[in-house]
Amino acid sequence: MIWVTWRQHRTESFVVLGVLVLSSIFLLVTGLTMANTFQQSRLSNCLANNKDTRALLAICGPLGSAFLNQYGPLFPFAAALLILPILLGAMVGAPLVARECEQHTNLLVWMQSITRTRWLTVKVELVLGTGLLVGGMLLVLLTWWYHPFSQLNGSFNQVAFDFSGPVLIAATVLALALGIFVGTLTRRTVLAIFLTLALILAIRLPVELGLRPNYEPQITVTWPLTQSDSPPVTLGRQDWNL
Amino acid sequence: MSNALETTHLSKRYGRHWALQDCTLALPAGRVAALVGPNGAGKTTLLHLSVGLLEPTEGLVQIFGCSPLKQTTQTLPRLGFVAQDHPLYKDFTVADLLTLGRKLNPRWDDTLARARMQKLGIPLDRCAGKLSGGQQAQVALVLALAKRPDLLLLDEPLASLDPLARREFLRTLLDATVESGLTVLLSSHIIGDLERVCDYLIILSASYVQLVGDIQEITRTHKRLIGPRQDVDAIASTHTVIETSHTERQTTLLVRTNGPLFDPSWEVQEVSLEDIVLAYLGQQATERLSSSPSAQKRMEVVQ
Repeated sequence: MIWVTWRQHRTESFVVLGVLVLSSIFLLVTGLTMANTFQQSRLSNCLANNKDTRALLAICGPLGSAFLNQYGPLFPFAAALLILPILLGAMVGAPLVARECEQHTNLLVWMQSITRTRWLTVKVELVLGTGLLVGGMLLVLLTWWYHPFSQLNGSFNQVAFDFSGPVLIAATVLALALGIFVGTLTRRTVLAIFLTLALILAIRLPVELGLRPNYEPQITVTWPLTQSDSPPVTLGRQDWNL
Repeated sequence: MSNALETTHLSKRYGRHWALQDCTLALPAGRVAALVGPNGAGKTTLLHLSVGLLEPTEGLVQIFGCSPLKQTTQTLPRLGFVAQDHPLYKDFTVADLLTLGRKLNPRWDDTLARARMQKLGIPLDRCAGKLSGGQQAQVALVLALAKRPDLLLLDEPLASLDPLARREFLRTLLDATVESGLTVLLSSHIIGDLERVCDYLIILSASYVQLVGDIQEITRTHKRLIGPRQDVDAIASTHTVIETSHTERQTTLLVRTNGPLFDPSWEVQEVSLEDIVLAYLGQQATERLSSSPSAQKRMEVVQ
C-alpha cells in the first residue's frame, strides 16, 4: 500500500520537492547576505550592547531602518511560502479520498486483499507525515532566515508568527486533515478543493486578524522561591498565577 | 456441494427506497452464473452487498461461509471483483497496475497476469487511460483473475463493450473458468451473450429475485403452450403460468411445468432462454401495474 500511495502521489511529491528546493535556494542565498549585512553594519553589536529602549531607538534606529529598507522588500516573497500548507491541503488532501470515489477506483482498490482500514490508514499517515516534514523544513528555513528581522521587529508580528514555534507545522497538518475530511464527505474533487480552501480561510483569517493582535508576548521572570509563592511582576491584562 | 455465495432474506434500503428486498439465493461453487435484470433492478446492490462494499439493511450474506463485511481478511483474498465500467487508475501504466496487484494480494499470480497481457497484446508501458475501452475491461478482468480468487463477481462487464470486445472478454473469462474451479457471477441486462458462458441463472427485477436455478433445468421445465382460446385456470392449478397472451382465437402461455403435461389441447413448444427471461421481467412489469404486493413477493426456485 505504501508503494501504491507513493505511485498515486508521485507527481505531487516532485512538485512539492521542486518548490522546496527552489525556496531553499532563495532563502539560503538571501538569508546569508542578510545575516552578513546584519553583522557588518554593526547592527547586531548595537542591539546587543544597548539594553535601554531609548538608547536603542537613538543609536540603532538609523541602522535598523537602513537594514529594513534594503531587505524589507524580500519579506513578501518569504511570506508567500506560507501559502504552501494551504495549497497542500487543497490539492493533495482534498482529492485523497474524493478522487477515488469520483473515478470509482475505490471499488478497485477496496477489492484487493487489504482492508479498507489499512488502505485509509497508510494513505493518511504517509500524506500527513510528508506534510509534517515539509512544514518542518519550511519552518526551520524561515525561522533562520527571519532571525535578523525578529531582532528588529520581534517575532510577534502577524505574519512572522507563522514561523515562530510550531505554527507552520500545525497549519500544514490542519490543512491536510481538513482537505481529507472534506473530500471524504463530498466525494467530489473540485467541490472538495474549493470547500477546503474556504474552510481553511474561514478558520485562519479570524485567528490571524482577530486573535493574534491580542496575544501577549511571553515573559521570563526569575525570583527566589523563599520570598514569595507568586512572581513579583504584573502579567499583562490579567494576573496569572503559576 | 458447498455454496460460494449464500444470501438469506437480504435487503437493502436507501432512505425510503428498497434497492433489494428479501433476496434468498445460493450460488453453488464452480458455477458460472448470470445475474439478469433490467437497469435499476438491484443487480449492483446485490453484488456490492455480496463483496462487502455495502452493509445490508436486513438479512445475511455469506461468501464460503464467511461474512464479507466482518471477516474481510478471510473473504477479500478469495474474492475477485470488477466494478461497473471497470475502473482503473488512469495515470498508472499497465505494469504499475500489475505491481499494485502484486503488492496488495498474497495470492497474486504475476506470471499469469503477464502472460495474459501478452496474449491480449496489451503493452505494459501504456497508461491505462490511453487503452481502448475493451482493453481497459480486459486489464480489469486480468487484475481480478491474477488475484487467484475463488469467486469472481463482475458488474455489467459487457455493457460498454462492442461485440468484438465482448467476445474477447468472454473468451478470457471462459479460459479462466476452465483452467480453475472458479465460481463466477456476472450481471447483465441482457442474456444473449451470456448463454454460451453461463450455466446458472438469477433473474432480478424491481428489487426482488424472480428465478434462481440451473440454466439447463430452466430451459427444460419452461414450455410455451399454444391452444384454442380458453381460460388458464385449469393449467394454472398444476403448473405455474408466467406469461399469458390471448388473441381472438388462440391462447399462448409460457409456463414452468411441475410435471408432465397431459392436456392434448395444448401444442407444446420449446422456449429460448432469452424468451424465458423476458417473460419473467414482463411478468414483473404487469404485476407492478396491478400493484399487488403479495404477487410481487413471489420467488421461484428451480433446482
